[in-house]
Amino acid sequence: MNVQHVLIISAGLFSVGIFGVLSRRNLLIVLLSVEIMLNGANLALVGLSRDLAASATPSAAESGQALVLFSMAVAAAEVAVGLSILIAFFRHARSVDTASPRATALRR
Amino acid sequence: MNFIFWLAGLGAIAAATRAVTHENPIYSALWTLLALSAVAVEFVLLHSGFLAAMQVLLYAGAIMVLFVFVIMLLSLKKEEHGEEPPFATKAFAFAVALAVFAVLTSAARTFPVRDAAFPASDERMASVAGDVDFGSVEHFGRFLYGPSVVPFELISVLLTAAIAGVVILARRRTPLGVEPPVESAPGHGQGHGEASPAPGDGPAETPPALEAAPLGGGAHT
Repeated sequence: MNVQHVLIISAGLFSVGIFGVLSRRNLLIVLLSVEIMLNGANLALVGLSRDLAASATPSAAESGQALVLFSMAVAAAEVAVGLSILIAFFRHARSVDTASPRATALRR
Repeated sequence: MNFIFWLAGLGAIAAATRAVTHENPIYSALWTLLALSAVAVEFVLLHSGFLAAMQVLLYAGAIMVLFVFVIMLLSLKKEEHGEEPPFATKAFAFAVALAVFAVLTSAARTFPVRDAAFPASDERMASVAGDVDFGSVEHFGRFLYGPSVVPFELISVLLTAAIAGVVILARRRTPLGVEPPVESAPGHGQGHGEASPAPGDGPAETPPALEAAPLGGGAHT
C-alpha cells in the first residue's frame, strides 16, 4: 500500500467509467459513469495529498483535499444540470436511448 | 490496514464495473452507491476523514438520491432503457478503456515512492499538521477558510448558476394555465385521448402533434 497502488486503483475506476461512457446508450448510465470517472480522479488527488503530507516538506498538502471538495461541488452542480438536460431530452425523445430515432431527429 | 485498502479498492472497481454493465438503471445506481462508499473507505485510510464524510453526504447522499429520484420519475419501461449497443461498440469501448488504464498505470509506476508503505509513515502524519490530525475537520477547516477561502466562496456562485440553469431547463415553455397554440392540424390533436390524457399537462412538452400525427391519422382514415 503506497502511493502507486492508490494511483493504480484510481486509474482502474477511471477506466471503468470510460468503458461505461463509450459502451452504453442509456443516458442515465452514461451520467453515472461520468460520476465514477470523477471519483477516480478524486481518489488520485487524495492519495497524492497524503503522499505529499508525509514527505520531508509537507507544504500545502491540504490543497489536494481542498481540490477534491471543490470537485465534489462541481460534480453536484454537473449532476443537477445533467439530469435536467436528461429530463428535457426524455420529454422530447420519449426515451433515454442516445441513439433513439427521435433523438437523432434533434439534429435536423 | 493493507487488507482493507485492497478490499475497498478492488471492491470499488468491481462494483463500478457491475454498475456500468447492468441493464437496469436502478441497480446501476445501487452498485454505484457501493462503489462510492468503498471510495469513502479509501479516503479514511488516506487520512481524509472529513472528505470521507463529504463523500458519503454529498455523493452517496445528495447526488445518488437525485439519480434515484430521476430514475423513479421517468419510470422507464424495458424498451425505453436504450438498446444494447452492437458487440463492435463494446469491444471498441473495452479497448479504449484498457489503453487508458495501461497508460495511467505505466505513468503511476514511474511515480516516486516517498515511503514504501503508507502505514509506516502514519506516526509522522500525526504530527505533520501541528497539534491537530491531518485531514481532520479542524485542520481542513483552517485551510479552507484560510488560504483557499476565495475558491471556497466561489463555489456558492457556481451552485447558484447551476440552480438558475436547472430552472431555465425545467421551466414550462408557456405560462401556467395558458393553452399553447396548436401548431399543426387541429383535427389530429383531438385524437381520442391516447396522446395526452390530461389536456392541462400537455403544454409542458414538445408539441403533441409530433407524436399524435401517425397514431391519430391512422385512426381517422
